[in-house]
Amino acid sequence: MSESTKPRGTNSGKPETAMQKLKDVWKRLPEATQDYWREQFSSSRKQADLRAELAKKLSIKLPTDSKLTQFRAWLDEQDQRMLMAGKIEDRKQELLSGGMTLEQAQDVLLSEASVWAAASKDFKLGLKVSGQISKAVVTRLDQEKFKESLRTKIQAGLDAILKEASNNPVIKEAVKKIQEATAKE
Amino acid sequence: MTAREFQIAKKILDRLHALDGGQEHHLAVHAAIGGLNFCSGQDFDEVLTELDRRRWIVGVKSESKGLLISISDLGESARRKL
Repeated sequence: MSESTKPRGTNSGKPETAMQKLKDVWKRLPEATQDYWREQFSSSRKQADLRAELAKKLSIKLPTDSKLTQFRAWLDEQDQRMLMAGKIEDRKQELLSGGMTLEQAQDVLLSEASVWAAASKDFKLGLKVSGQISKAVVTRLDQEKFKESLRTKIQAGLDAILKEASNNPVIKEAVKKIQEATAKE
Repeated sequence: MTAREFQIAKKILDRLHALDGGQEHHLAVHAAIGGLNFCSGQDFDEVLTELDRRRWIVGVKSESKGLLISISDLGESARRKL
């Protein structure tokens, strides 16, 4: 994926606003600095005081208090999305270490992300449903493992029959049909 | 891109535009535009790759948060024409 140094989400050709600059700068700030600002934003400090500090430290002058309020609202949403991204990656590792392939894990993650998106206003409900999806997938995988082990055992049995009756064309034909049917299941 | 691929691209760009300069995990974007009910993972990935090739989106890979995507200036102007 390509990376660009230009701000995102701006209208091409139009001058950047202080808000757009702040959003862009924010994404490049080290985590410790972001944490510092989060702390300031949730403190009892005056908005004007915070805007002055932003101007001094980041060289971004937000014109009004309402702009800072808007930025804080945007930041809350962005933090929620980053929380979700972290959650998706943690689950991915969990599913992969549980024996799923990347493709299977992506299917589960997508289902879970859909649930989280739909139930974003009700996290308990979202978590409950995503747990049920995971269980259903694990059950399906267990069934697949069981089928595979059954196939292996049947194959071993058929090989033994073929060895014993290698000169009997009727048995050979029957074994072939059983093998075909087993492979399809 | 086919008409269907443009349809998927438009949905992706609309979603990213709505983030107002924000970023989102690529699977969360797929989920937000309707998940597998709207398009398969393969179709989504193919369109995403094409959008990246055209530089309509910007992707940043992080170890803890995966692939985060956002819309670029080019993507914003393309979105208005789609």
